[in-house]
This record gives sequence, C-alpha cells and structure tokens, in this order.
Amino acid sequence: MPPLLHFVVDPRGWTTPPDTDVLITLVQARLRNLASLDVQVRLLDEHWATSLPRPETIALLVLARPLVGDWQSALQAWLSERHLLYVAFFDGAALEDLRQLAALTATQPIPRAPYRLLAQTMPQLDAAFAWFESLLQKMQPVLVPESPPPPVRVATTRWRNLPSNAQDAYAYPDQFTLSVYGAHGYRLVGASHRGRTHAHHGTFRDDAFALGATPHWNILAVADGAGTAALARVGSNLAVSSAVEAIRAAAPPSPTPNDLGRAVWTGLEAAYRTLFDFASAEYLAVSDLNTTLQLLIHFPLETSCYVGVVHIGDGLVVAEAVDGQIYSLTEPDTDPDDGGRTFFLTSAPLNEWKRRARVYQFDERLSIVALMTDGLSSDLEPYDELLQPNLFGALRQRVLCYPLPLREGALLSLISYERRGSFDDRTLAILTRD
Amino acid sequence: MNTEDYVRRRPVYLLLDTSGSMRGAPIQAVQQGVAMIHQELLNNPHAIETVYLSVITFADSAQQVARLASVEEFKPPTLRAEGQTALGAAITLLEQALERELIPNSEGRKGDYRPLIFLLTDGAPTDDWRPAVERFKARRGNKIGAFVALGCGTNVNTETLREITKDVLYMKDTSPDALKQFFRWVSSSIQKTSQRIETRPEEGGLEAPPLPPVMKWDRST
Repeated sequence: MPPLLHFVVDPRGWTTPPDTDVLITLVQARLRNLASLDVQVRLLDEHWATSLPRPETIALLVLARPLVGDWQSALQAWLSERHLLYVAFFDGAALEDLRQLAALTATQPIPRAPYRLLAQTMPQLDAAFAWFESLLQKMQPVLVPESPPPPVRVATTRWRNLPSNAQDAYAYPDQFTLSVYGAHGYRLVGASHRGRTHAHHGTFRDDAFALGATPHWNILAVADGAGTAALARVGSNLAVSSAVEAIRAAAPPSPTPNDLGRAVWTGLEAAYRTLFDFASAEYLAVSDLNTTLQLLIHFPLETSCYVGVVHIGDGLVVAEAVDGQIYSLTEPDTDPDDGGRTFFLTSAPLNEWKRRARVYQFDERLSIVALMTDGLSSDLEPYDELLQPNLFGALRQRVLCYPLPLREGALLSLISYERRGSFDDRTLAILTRD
Repeated sequence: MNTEDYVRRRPVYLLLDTSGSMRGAPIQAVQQGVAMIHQELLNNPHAIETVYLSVITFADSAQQVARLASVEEFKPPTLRAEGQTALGAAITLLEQALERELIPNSEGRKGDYRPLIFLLTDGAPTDDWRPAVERFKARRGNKIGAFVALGCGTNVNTETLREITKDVLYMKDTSPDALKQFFRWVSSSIQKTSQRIETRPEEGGLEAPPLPPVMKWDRST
C-alpha cells in the first residue's frame, strides 16, 4: 500500500484564508504525476499533532503563526519510519517551533530543514507543494506503487479508406446525397454512405436511392446491391432510377387512391425489365445485377394520406404519424434464424413481387417516412427500443432542424457513424413535412 | 448516430485432439496452426470486430483451454499431447460451451451468428462418444453454421466422424506441412465467413396477381 499524503495548512495570517477545496485542487494539480497516492488536506488547529493519520503517511506542515498547545510529545510519539513529517513556513511562524520541528525530524530517511516561503500568498504555497513534490520524487522507490505490467498491445490492422476507381466504366461516387421539393409541402432527402468493407478494399458502394415528385405524389426508392454480384451497384442504381422515372412518367394528372397500386406495379416492372434488358445488352448474367428494392409512393391529402409500397429483400421501411405512432410499412425478407440471407428483385418472377405490393390509407398525416438498407436498419435493432430515439429523434435533432439544402450533408453525417461489427453500406431516404 | 454497443459475434470453436499419438511434431504443428489462425485473423479488420475464438482439447478428458474470446483477447493456449482420445467428452463440453457462451436470438434482436466448429483428430475415440454425439445433434444440430471434421493418419476412423458431421476431410498423415495446410484453410474459411454472404432463393413461375386493393391501416396489428 502506498503511503498517505497528509497536508496541514495554517489558516492564520492570510488576507483571504485558504479554503480546503482550493488547497486540494492545488495539491492535486501539483502532484498529478504521483496520482495514485491518497491525499488528505486539512487546516491547522490545536489538535493537529494528535490527529495525524495512523496508516503509513508522509505529512507536510505549512506554518504561518506560532504553534499553540503541547504538540511536541504527540508529534514525537507519531514520528517513525512509517510516519514522516516535513515543514514549510511563512515569516510569521515562531523560530522556536521551527527549531524543535527540525530537531524532531532530523533523523528521517531524507531529512530536510524547514522550508522558508517568501510571502504568505497562494503562489508561494504552491512553491511549498513543489518542494514537497521534489522530496517525494527522491523517495520514489518507496513511493511509486507497484504497477501492473503494461498491457500487451497487439498491433492490429487498421481499416483502410481507399477510393473506388473513378475511371471504371460503371463508376459511382463513394457517397451520394440528393434533396427534392415534393408534393404538398413535403421534402425528400436521401444520403448513401459507402461501408467499411468497400472502403477497405477500394470497391464501390453498392447501395442506391432515387427520389422523385409529381404535383400529387412523392416517390422514394432505395436498393441494396448484393455484395456477391459483380455489378451490384449498376443493378441497384438502375432499379431505383428506372422505377422512380417510370412512376413519374405514368402518373395520372388527377390521381385517385386506386391509381397507387398500378403505379407501384409500373415502377416494379420498369426496374425488373431494365435489369434484364441491361444484362442481355451487356451479355451479363442477370444475377450480376442482384439487388434489393424498396419502392414507396406517398399520396398526401389535406389531413390524411395514402401510401403505395413494395419491398423485396432486407432493409426497413417505417413511418411516424403526426401523433407519434410508428408504422412498419413492409415485411422485409430475412432468414428468421440467421442474418445474411435476402431476396433480390431478379431472383423471382415479377408476378411474385407484384403480389407483395400494398396500398394503405392513413387517417392522419405522416410526419416522417424512412426507407433504409440493412446496413442501417440492423444497427437500429431492437426496433421497438431504438427506432424512436435513434432514427426519428436523431432525424429531428440533427437533420430536420436545417433548411433543405443543408439537410443532405446532415443526413449523410448522421449515417456515417463508425460502429464495431457494422461494415455495410448505409442508405437512408426520408420524406418529411416541416 | 447513437447505436448501442452491441455486436453480432461469429463464434469459432476449435476442437483439437491432444492424445499421446499427437506427441512431437504433430502437436507442434497444431500449436503453430492455432497461432497462425490467430495472427491471420488479427490482420483482418472484419475478423477483429466479429470473430470470437475458443479452443477445446481432448485427451483423457476434454477441457476448454481457451474460452470464447474476441480475436484481440484470445491467447493461443499451450498444448500438450498425452493420454487417450475422449471425443465424446469433447462433444459434450462443446455443447455446454455453446449453451453457456452464445447469445441466442431474442425479441427484436438477432443473437450471435451460427458457430463454426472445426474438429481435428488422429485416432479413434476411446470413450463412449455415441450418446454425446446424438445429444449434440438433437439439441444443436440445426443451429450450427458449419461443422468440419478433419481426420488424419492411419488410425482415424472417418466413419465415426461422418456420424458427427457430413463435412469430413481426411489426410493420410499428421505431417507438419499437411496440418499447416489444414489450418490455413480453416483460417481462410473463417475470414470469408466474417463478411456476410447472401444466397438466392428458388425460382418459380406464378400467375399474375390482382391489383393491390386500398387497405385501411388496422391499428390493432
């Protein structure tokens, strides 16, 4: 056990008497290199000599005025190999006291005469502590507690952040953001972030998203190209852009809720056909373009809204209504027992995906709709605990507080966090109303 | 974004035969093989964040000489070859370790990934292994990511190993080079699995469905 450091400071004779809290701060600042030692600070009183600590102690007494009472015998009884005392003094101290203290402490392992301080000020008191510290360092072999051996630090490989090849025939930027003014005062913002696996290998971001609006509809699409597919980024980007564009082009001038189902199909068909056409034109296997797809059309009315939606593969499509209710709008495909399995747009007949299209009517407005790939959604589990604070709350605090042009960057920074075990691309497309 | 500090782990269990017949060069090669796996995983940033390693040895009895630990915390154990081949005890101990150390799926949250298990042995089991294997298969059989058994040398009975798992490899000797090859393969398997791999569903034809109707959102669901 290391010794206790015990400071006794004379409170008399100061223009402003020192406060123990201030003294402790001063001592700790001075002794921070010997931080593992226990420190006690007290003000001098009549009983200082009888109340010196029992455990192994090194004490510093700072005197400003003559000592009162019978302290000599108590101190003499206390002093030993395990109890050391050093003295510093201001000019108000009694010479006789100092002579007696010097005599009593002269046989200590490292004897020091009482240390004279020039003026009764805080800087001079600190000078006393500095003197005491230099004494403690001389005693280091006794003082420095036995420390555990330094931890074995294994030099682990660092993550690289290599840019992808911008000269590639199918190059896409490593990150991407976009914002769009939508129908009925809604705003659409998207951001896509390249995950650490791709950054480490200098490969492309495989996620994609697209946003679009007609006078009545807001359209969002998010896709996650399969890591196993050679041109996954092409598949995901073609799927989202062709779907959104087809829906926009085919949107009726005065739509009714019944048009939404057909519009979702139109988007699905366009994405599906585009991938097969591209594959045959480029002599590729269509599985080289494997991608998931989340497609959502929002049809806002004055106080209610309709949502047409389809979801193939993993990820998450959620909405928060104005009353705070959270809706999970789709049922993502995931293996119930193990992650890492998903479905792709081109891996089943189109009609299977058409069956999945849904059109929902809501009696209230939706305040936030969010589509995201699994790189983000799997970090938000469990949803019932984390969606509210970590998605909707975070969006309000860190993204929606900005004007639209700034939200793109804010959204990208929101999804660009680092987290152990989270390597995937992350994409988030949101629909909000201020 | 503030997400909880929670990682889905990829547990890897190495079941190593340390019976007397492994004494000398073979046990040295196994020792080096474990160290090599550890070193290679340390050089793979994906593996550092997700892979957790454990070592179970079996001879006269089975012992978990390294508990499941992250690649950074893992310390390759010192192996000594002596005694018999208590394979059944090793399987029982493995089952207990899986039960104790793995985080299962729970409501709204996915647990650990399925474990990868690599078994290495050079002899026929000397204990009553069959009940242990049957119990293991009944309780854990469908929750294993991969179970690979390597039999090496002339004394090994690959039929026994096939009763434990369908993935059985055989090497005719326990030479250091052969063992090194095996451990190199184990290491690359682990590293591949630490990055996720997607699979494709079956394809099949369907008739055109009806257009989706407009549905009122039912709040009770």
